[in-house]
Amino acid sequence: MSQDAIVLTGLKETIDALQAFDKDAVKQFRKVINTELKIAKEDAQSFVKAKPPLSGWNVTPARNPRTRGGAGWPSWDQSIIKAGITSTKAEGKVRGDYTTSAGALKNISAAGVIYELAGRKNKTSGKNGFISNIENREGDASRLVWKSVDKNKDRIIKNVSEALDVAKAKLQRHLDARKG
Amino acid sequence: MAQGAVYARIISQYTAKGSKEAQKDLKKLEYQMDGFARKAKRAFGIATAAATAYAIKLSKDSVQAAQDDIKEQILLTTTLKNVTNATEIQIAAVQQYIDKTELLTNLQGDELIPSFNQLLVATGDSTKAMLLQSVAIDTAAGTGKDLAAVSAALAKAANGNFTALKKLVPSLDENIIKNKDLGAALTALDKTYGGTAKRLADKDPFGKLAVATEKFKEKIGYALIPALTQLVTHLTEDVIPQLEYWLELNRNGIDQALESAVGNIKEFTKALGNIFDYLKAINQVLPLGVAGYIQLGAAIYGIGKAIAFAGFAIKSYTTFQKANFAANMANKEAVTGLAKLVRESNDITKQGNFVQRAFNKQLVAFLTLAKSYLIVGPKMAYTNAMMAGSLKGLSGAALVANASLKALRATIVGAIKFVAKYWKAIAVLIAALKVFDWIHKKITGNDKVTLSAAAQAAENRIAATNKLNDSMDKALNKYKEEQSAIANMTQEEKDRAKALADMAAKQLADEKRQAAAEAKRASVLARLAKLQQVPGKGKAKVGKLVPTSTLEAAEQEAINFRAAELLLLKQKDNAEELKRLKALQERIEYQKLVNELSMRYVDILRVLGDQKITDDEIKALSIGWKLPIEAVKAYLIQFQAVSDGKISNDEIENLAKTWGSTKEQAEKYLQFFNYLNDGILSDSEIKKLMTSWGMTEAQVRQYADFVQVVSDGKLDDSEVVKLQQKWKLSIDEVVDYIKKIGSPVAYSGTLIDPAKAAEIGWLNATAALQRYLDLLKSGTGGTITPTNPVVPVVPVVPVTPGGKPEVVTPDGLGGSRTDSSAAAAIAYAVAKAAGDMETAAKAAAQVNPSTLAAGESGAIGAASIAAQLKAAEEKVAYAATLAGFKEKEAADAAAASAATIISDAAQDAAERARFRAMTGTTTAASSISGGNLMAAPVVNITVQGSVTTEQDLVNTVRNGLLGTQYNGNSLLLQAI
Repeated sequence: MSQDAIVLTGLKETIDALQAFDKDAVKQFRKVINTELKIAKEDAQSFVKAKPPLSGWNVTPARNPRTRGGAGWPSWDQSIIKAGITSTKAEGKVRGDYTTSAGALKNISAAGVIYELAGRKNKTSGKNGFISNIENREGDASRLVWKSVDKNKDRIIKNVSEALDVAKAKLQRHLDARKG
Repeated sequence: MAQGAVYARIISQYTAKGSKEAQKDLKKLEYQMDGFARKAKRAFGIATAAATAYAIKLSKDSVQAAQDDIKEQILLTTTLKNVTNATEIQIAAVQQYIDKTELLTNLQGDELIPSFNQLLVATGDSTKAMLLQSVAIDTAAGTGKDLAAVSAALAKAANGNFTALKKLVPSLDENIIKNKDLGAALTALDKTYGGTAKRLADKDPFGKLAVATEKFKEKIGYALIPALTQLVTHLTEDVIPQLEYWLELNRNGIDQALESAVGNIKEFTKALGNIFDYLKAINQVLPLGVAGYIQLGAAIYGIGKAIAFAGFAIKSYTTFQKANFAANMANKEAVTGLAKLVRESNDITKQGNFVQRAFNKQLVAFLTLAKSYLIVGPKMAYTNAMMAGSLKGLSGAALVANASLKALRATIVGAIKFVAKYWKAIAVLIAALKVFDWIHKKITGNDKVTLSAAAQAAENRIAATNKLNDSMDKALNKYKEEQSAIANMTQEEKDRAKALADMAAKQLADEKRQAAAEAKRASVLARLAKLQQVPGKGKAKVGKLVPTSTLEAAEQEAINFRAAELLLLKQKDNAEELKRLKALQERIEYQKLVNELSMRYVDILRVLGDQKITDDEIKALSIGWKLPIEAVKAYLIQFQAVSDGKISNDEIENLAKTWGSTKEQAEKYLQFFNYLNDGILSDSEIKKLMTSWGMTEAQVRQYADFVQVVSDGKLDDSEVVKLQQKWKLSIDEVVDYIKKIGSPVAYSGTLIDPAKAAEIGWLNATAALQRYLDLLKSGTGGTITPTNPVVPVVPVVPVTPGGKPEVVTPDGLGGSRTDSSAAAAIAYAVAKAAGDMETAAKAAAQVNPSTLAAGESGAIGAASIAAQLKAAEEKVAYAATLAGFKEKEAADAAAASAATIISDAAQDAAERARFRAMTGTTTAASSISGGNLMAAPVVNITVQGSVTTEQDLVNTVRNGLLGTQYNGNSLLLQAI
């Protein structure tokens, strides 16, 4: 799982300030972020297969989804897992390094989360060899949203940084113009 | 973030929230240090303070909890009354339900009541709301979602919007969502999650405890609130006035109080120092550990023990005293016994004396005998005397020895008896003396215990406090001296000193502020410099995060610093900056308005150049101004009315008729519109309007604002909101005000009720404008009606080659007054085209402005003349071009005719031969018709059959022509 993320400095302030001078520039910048997030989201969704990764993974909804194991195991439903993968620009919680999110992917469906994370912490094979089987067939953990982030990160960093730099430059021009 | 969801952050940012979080962390650290200090205090045994603090906190929390509960109850009660007209009994039932639910589910009232309110508003029925809430609680517990979010989703679902519910519970059946079946949704949720909340609550005793504690706090709070209310009343009504009164009375004694306070503090500190010294000594002698607190605690413990021992020693001493007394008493007995012994001893002594006497007798007899034998004379006498003395001394010594023996005996007997009786107390006393001796050695000996760091720190603090005492002494003395000096100063000197002190304080504050700003700036710069590290260039990362930038470092710094500065400004809520930005924004708005008005002015002049306003022109203006047609028409009417700077009765009446309003409304509006036409309402204009209409300044400004908004004939929600906010009006009041003005507007938006919008709408605008235009045409419309119609449209000028254009006066609003003017314009154009500028100038001087423009300023008149001259030039140029074209056309026709006459017979024969070879290939008959083909280039070709390509068409025409030649007919129009 990727640990790095692009940290934009002065994003909110730049956009807020630019809003007063050049709304089109703000729109343009937001469009870049939205586009990048959309691409990453669609990429992550494309990793969800129609059939379950393991043959024993049930495809009918569980009788009691809150119980782990057996009948309670969340079913593999491509549409639900895909629908559970969304992008968000909510700021969310402030982390220990005093940053907040400006763009992220979420994977919220139970089956999607299991598929994404199985084997990430616990490397030993579980009951019936679930973890080893899924690792053998689908590769290491980080199989959906994190995979997409890893794949698209460089491009996103480049495009968003450039867009922010453009926005900052535009803001600076406006500020300079105000100085006369 | 949903519970259990995977959250892959791609883009992060530093925000104000981050710095606030940092501050929060610092505060937390501070709090933790405070907590440590509190713990240390508790270690010193000051638990009372903590207990008091807890009691205060509990009281405060309780009152807060009770207040919160009251707020929630008010919220609940109000909603119930408003939504369901609930009675007091029904409200009480709901409150009971909330209380029970709290206990059953471990949810607090501050979660349950907002949720219930939301559902109540959505359903309008408290029973349904309860049902929905029970499902919501179970669903929230089952999914791990927030109750508020689930309640909101269910409330939306109750109103037919299932999107939120689907997002919240993705496993919900698609058919339920599709059919918007709330019942099925609730059943499904209940089936999946029913009873989850209660089961979870039953397994969470701490949750129950939390709920119970909260209830307990609320109860305490309810009990405390009356007392606190009373206390507040007492403080505000009795204590504070008394305190103020006391301060007033004792103002003069404050110096003394200060001095006394300093003295007291000093004494107290000294006393503390002494105590500490004692504690330190105890601490040193008790080898109980290294931690200062423990040592000190042990020292206190040791003191306690020592005191206890001292008590014991005192007790022992008392016991000893008692014992002594008892011994004395016992001594009496002993003495009695001793007396007996003495008596017996005396008896012995008597016996001894008797023996002695006998002995002496014998001795005397012996000596006498000896004398008789050995000494003769005085020697005998002397010897006898000496012997007698010795014997006497011996006898005394024997008596003394006898007394001593008696005393010794008494002592021994008494001591034996005392020891026998009090041996335990004596043993303890000896032990205590040993302990004291041991302590004494420890204090004065070489095996002292080294002070721990904490104890040393405490000692240092005491030393520092002593130093502080000294400085306080000095400060107090200085203060006294200053007071004394002030008392001796004149008022002028006092004022000067005060001014100097103020200046010094201000300077100091400025320096501090500047230093703080510099430090902050340096910190921001340092942080920015750190954040601008670019990966891949050997720069450090910030944690695991990689800041990136493609800008130059200097540019990046400038932008980031500006952004940070903006952030700081934002955090400081810099009112000045906001004010400046607002002013700038208003200036931009004003400039936009002026530009728009200028643009409209130019457009109107252009349209009125021909004195006609056609529908097409109005449509063009409508598109150009981005206004409805009705609004354009209204604006034109208003513009016409105020364009001369004077408002006539006719204009007022026209506008009133147009609007269907009263004459007063129209007059008032036009006057305001006239003044506002330049975009500014000056002070003098305001005064005039105040005088004219008996209005206050505020009323004038309000009316002007409304006129400015409706003058363009349209109204949208942003304008409504702007007016609402500026003048604190409701939407209905805004509508009423517009109605009062009488100017119809085209409303687009959602704020105003459609029925009300219709009341201020353009119902009769088109008809009104038509009436106005009719008036304009009929020439009875007053000053704006052109009584002498001016040059209408630019005339069509038929031109013969080489000849001069002929002027034809067209229809329209033109008339005899401008015929000469039009002719002059054409003459000007012709002369100019011919290069005769002198004639052109003379002709131009004959051109008159249009009737409407003639009533305007000189500039408008000049613009009208210029427009006419330009139009005439264009027409002349067009006529010249047309004449040239026709000339060339005629020449081409003549050349073509000549070419036909000299056609080669041989070529014709060959062509006929070729066609004969093609006989039969023409399947479709075609025809060419027309008049004189040479004279008029209009040819009608009828093609029979299907022609799909251009080549087919050419072939068909060619075949038709050749076929005509082949049959011997001449090539005539009627050939076929």
